[in-house]
Amino acid sequence: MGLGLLQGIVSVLVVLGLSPLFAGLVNKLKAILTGRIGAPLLQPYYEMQRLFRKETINAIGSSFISRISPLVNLVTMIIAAAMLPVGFWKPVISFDGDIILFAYILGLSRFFQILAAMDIGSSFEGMGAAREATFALFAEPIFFFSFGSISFISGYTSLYMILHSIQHQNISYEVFIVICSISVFMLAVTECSRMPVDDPNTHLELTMIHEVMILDNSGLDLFLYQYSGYIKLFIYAILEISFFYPFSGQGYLLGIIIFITGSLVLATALGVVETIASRYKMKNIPQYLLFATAIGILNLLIYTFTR
Amino acid sequence: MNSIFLSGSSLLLLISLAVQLLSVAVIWLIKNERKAFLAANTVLLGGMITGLASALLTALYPAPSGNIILYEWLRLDPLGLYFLSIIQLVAIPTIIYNYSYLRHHIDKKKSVKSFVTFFTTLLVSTQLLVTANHAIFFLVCWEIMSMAAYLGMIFEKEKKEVQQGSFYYVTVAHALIFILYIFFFILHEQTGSWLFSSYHLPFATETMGPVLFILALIAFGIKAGFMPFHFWLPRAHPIAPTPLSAFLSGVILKTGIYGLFRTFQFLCPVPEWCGWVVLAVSLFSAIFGVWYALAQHDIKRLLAYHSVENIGIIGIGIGLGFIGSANNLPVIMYIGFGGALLHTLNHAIFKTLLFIGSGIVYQNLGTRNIELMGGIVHRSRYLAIAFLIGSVAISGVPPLNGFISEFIIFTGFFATANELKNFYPIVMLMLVVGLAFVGGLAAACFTKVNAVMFLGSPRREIQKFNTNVFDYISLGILALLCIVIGFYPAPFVGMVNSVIGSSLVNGTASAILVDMNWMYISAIFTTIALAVFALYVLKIRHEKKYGKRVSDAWGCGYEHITPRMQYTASSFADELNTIPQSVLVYHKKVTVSDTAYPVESKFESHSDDFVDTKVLLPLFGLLKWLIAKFEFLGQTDIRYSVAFILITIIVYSLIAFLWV
Amino acid sequence: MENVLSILFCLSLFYLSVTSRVKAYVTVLRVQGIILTILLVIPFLSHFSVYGIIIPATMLIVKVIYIPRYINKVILDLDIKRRIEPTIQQMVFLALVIATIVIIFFASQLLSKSTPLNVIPFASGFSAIAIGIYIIMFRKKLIVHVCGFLVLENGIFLFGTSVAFELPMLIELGTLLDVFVVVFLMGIALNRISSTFEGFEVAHLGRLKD
Repeated sequence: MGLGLLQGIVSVLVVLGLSPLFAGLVNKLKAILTGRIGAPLLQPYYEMQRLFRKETINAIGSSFISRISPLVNLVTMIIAAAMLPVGFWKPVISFDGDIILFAYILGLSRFFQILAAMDIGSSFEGMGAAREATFALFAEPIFFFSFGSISFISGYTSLYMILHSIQHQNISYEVFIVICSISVFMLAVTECSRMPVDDPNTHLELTMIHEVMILDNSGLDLFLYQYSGYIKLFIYAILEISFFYPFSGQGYLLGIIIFITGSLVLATALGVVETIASRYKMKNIPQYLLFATAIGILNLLIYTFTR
Repeated sequence: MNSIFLSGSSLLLLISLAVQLLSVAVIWLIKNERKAFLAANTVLLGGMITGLASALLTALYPAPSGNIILYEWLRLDPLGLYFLSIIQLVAIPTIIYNYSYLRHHIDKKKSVKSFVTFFTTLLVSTQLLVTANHAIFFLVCWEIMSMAAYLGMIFEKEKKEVQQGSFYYVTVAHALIFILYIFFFILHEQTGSWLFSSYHLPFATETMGPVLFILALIAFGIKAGFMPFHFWLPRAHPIAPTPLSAFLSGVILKTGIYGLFRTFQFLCPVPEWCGWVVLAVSLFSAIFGVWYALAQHDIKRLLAYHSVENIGIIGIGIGLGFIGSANNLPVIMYIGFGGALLHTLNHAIFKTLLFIGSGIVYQNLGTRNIELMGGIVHRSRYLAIAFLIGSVAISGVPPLNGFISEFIIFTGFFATANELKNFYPIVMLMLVVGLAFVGGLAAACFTKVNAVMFLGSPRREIQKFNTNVFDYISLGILALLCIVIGFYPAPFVGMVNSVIGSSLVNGTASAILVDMNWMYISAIFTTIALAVFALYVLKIRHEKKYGKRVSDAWGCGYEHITPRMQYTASSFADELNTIPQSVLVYHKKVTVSDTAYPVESKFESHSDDFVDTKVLLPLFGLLKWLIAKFEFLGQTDIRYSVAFILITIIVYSLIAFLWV
Repeated sequence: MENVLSILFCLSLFYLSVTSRVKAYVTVLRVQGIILTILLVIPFLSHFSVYGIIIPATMLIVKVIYIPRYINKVILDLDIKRRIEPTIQQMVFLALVIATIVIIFFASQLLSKSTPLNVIPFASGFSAIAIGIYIIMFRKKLIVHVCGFLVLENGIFLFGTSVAFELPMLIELGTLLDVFVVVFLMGIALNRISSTFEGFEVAHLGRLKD
């Protein structure tokens, strides 16, 4: 118990500490792939440090929602991170049915973020909020399809146990897992507002989704939002890595090695996708998400019928 | 000892009902309108609190075999008691809100005597309804309940929309009670008894089983507002006075759910197709209820559509329970019914909260159109907080009570898939995704409502915004209940568990509901709350050190930003509304200048209900056409009429003759 | 292995129902041709026979190389626009496709209880047939109809491999020839239409009375 709790706390700390590094890694790799030198690996840390020291400016007409929403965001992200197995250590929070809590905790952060965006009373933020609400709606089924199907196959309802149950079985199961991971990747891209859905580097308010929601935040608020954004990206990265971890329970060292290589590979994958993909039209995004869902459905059908 | 106490508590219940009725006498006896109302409402409140106390006493000291209150007519079994406490729990804040709402009307020299009378009658008849053990008595209560609701609804009868909406309601209520008559007459014919407690017709052995089930599903489904039968709901609820619409949406709909549970008691164990029918209808209601809600601009209408969604979620739980019953799996019955019962309580709480909140806004702004609101948070912060709590709860987002019941239902899907292998996992997964989708839509809808009503800056100048202490007391009670059930669900789940154990599942005890990790969830939610609070304190300290100020929002260089430029409800929901075009009839009309000269630009959007435009209107058109064919009958003189009577008699006798 | 290939085949169907470019249709046809070729080659890995390799080889030549190239050529020659011009929302189309595939899979699962068949390829083939028909139903461009027809034909092929272990070769060659002729005729027809009317939409065909 004691050791397990310690491991859990260590993994939360790892997530909290390393998530900006992961974001920096993705950006660096993307820069290299597009033939630039790019910002240093630790750039996100520098930016956060800079933001932390600035004064907080709230928009006129904003209310208490804008003030607490960044906090709610960070807290929910930490709680979500505490449910994930990092390097296959047992997480702090793990109980039957926590997969639902995980999805809904992320829903809580989204709820407050949308409210905070609408709180400013500017139509830029409103636009971002409306898009976020719409796309989140189509993104939710993907999560439930991919993790729900593994859960139904294994019979577990705890995220840790679900991810733990992924093991070498036979070829059709492996294909199943690979396709699951593809749809989770598509989900991650949407949720973390990465390239084919949302361009983190765009400079036009009208084309932003996530960025425009935090357009009027600054100082500490922006710091919190960005930090929770990094954590969210890392959370999805961990989910993705967990798919390719068929050696569960084979020692901590191996776990850590796989975790690190997995992060590197995933960062490269994200970088590659961001380099080669062009961004979708806003009205095609629900279609893209439905496509990911379709993959999930097909996958499940095929897997259940081959058994 | 126990039995004396028991009769004491049921006596208390009868006394409380009597006290509530006393308020009717009070209001008509006292001349001064204001004093009469204050006295009557206080008496009513006292009666209701007594009633709640008696219900709690009965729950704490249960009788070994049911609880007979008055002969066999009135009887409180755990199921009835559970619904009774929901009614009383929700009625109390509503009555408190009455102080504020009706005083406002008295100030405008409007007589509230009849409204209080009908409202009290409604409360009493609803309480009697769930206590009734005699079919005829049940039907009488049902009828009184429907009529009292109708009479209360036409409080503002000079308005056109009130006349139309209430007419819709009363028609549907009557159509419904006919079906109920048939239902109970068949039951009586089969068993030879009028008492609920003696109805026990296992579905499998009964030839009338399917008929009874379908009748009950239609009748109670209309009352509860399941999707194809929901059409009266968004018409009737918006036009009722706020306390009444809160009560209608929060409680009266639940009598339909109560009826479904009773039907299950009569017919259990039900076959599996019943479960699938209920599941399909419920999922349909849940998804499209909330989707229609998203397209509404009228806040009360929106909330009424949301009731359809929540009833759908409750129905999903019931359907799961039916499937458990068909497969003889008490575990699934516990989870399914548990989720349904808990969501019934939760929905009663947060829907009343939201209705009262929107009622306060309506009273102050004089409009129910959310496109004209905004910025109320700066006028009344506590109202905004209470409404926010209600919104978070209804969206099923943690850490409030809506999440708890949805969590139970989600667990039910996983449990069903694990217990019954075969094709169940796939279907259950579809349901999981469906419910998640509903959750997402509800979140989108309530972020919209909350943001457009309360946040930003006012789209139309707010002249005055008065709230008083009674508003806050009633909202506070409800918000507190949301928080308590969310953060500390264990006792409530235990309560639901014992209700199911004693009245829905025969004999087999299962601790599955109680054994879910409620302590874990409580701990996590408490951590979230504490962490947010702690971070807030830290944030304030940080702001002291590094500074804090307010400034204009980014306008992309544009200087003359007006509140009308904010994102509106229609623009927020536009993308979602245009997707299901075939089901959601959503019209947009844009007038802009396409020449070089600017003309006045306009945008309007409104949505029609699929059931209305594609089913009801054609149906009634057909009926009208048919009746027009027989118009000649009415115009001829009396001899023909007599001849027709004679022909009818002959036809009937022939049928009867051939039948025998 | 057959199952994996069928999954890929189904994925290509999903891609067909979301993409909005004619080019992508041609690419998907090529991919499907490759998948089917591999599927036909697999049995010969264990017991090789020169005779048996004829169909896969023809397949490769006709479906992967010739027909896509020909369609591309038609597109280039006639300067057909890149959009496929759907008649319903793509989103609704995709939802329809998902629903159809789910139903087909369930139906084939039920069917497999009474008759011996390999569910996944069977259902995938069946879905391809349905989706080919959908494409023809819900798209305006004639060239897309040709693609839809080819998808349908691929579906029949996959369907055939799952029902019997191998169809009589003659029949398979016959179908291939059939397809070849149809595509050829379409090409000629398109050429004719383009010289008669502006544009290549089916709406014009109604005016083409003989």
